[in-house]
Amino acid sequence: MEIQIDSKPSYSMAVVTLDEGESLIAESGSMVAMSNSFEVDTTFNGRGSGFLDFLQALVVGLIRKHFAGESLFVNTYRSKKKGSELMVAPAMVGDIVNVSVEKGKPFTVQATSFLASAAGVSNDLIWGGFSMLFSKEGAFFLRCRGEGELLINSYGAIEKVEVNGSYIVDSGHVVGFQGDLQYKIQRVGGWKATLLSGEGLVLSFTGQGTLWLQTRNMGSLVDWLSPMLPK
Amino acid sequence: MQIEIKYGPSYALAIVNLEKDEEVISESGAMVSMDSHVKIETSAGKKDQGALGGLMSGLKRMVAGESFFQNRFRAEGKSGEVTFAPTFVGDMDKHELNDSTLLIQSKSFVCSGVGVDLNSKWGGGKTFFGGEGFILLKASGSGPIVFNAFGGIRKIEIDGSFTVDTGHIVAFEETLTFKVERFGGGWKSFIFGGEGLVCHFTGKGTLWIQTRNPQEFGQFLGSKLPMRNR
Repeated sequence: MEIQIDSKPSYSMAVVTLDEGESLIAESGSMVAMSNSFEVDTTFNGRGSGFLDFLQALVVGLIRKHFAGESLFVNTYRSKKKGSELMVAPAMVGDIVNVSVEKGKPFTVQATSFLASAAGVSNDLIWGGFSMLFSKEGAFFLRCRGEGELLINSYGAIEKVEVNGSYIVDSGHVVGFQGDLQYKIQRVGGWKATLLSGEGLVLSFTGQGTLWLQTRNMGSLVDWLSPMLPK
Repeated sequence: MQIEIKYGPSYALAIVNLEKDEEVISESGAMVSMDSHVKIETSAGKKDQGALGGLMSGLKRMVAGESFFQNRFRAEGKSGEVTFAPTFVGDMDKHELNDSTLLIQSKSFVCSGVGVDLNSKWGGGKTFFGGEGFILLKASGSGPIVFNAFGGIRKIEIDGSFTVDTGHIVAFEETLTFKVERFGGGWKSFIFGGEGLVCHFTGKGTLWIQTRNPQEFGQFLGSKLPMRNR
């Protein structure tokens, strides 16, 4: 699987070249163009076979639908020929980066930032905690395990930060993280700062690992844009 | 005519340098700036078409989602410059027609030389279900043509067959045949796959696609904005 990203960072599109038998799982609605050598299957987002897996897939789907305006479903594109090309892009303006998920090195991605992954990557839903509900977005994460490439998308550009010790990120700017990192959701400073600083909730990371941030915040955009629109 | 495109992919601007007495035709409202000796003439049709012919040309363009009127810029007496930009963010590209035909997604036309004829063309019978205004503008003749996109532009050389989401098509050469079809193999993928209709191309020729889909963007952002009274 080869991945090339076009039109960075404002209107990024991923051009994925697959070998025969390789598959890419992509967010429903994200396909831009493709060679005619793919078998397409549409399934619930989540790939277990048991009833609990089905329920989880349904919950993940509903949450992603609610928080990201996306569908409950994902499409699997299986290449029938070497060199098949598939292009995917998110609906929103912004960047895409590809990261590698390895055995024992899962990648945790904000649910709204998942774009596509290799078939060897599966994901579980992680509840971000009750306090995250107040942060408008980012209440849920997907933990991607297995082996293969993962494509994540952002609103704005993506900045990669190596964390060694501790680091604080606004909850609306987290795209994903990997490595030995724990996070706590907390207020920034005291109550006064929470109410007056305009920063709301932050994620406080500790440990050693890599963090991916987006340079714009969807919740802030909505707050800024809404009063400007005609009634 | 020399055309330079700057500031892509986000805020592309087309800078057109006309020779003495040369003309360029544009979508109404696309002009950004020009030398003061450049004369502008607004009409629905061509110079020699008469009133009725002009009316018909204008209506045809309206059907294709373009403006009724078009502007004609003429560098009178000496060479001159005109610059053009579309309303929304994104890139532009240019193509030189050489006694050939290019089909352009209706909202993507920016400007063209006088040797290029513009006509509307239906995208096909299934267009009605497309919801993305898949009506095409047919540009034929000889000369340069500039078109714009929502997001970046990728140029794809097709030799065989290729599939594109209808909302991502910018332009393609007429040497390609196309069919609007359901996405995926079956009804399940069509209904739940979230891709709607796709355009299936066959043959040999060039295709230009845009990296964002205006309708998907509108739905995504619109769903996050508070309800408003209309």
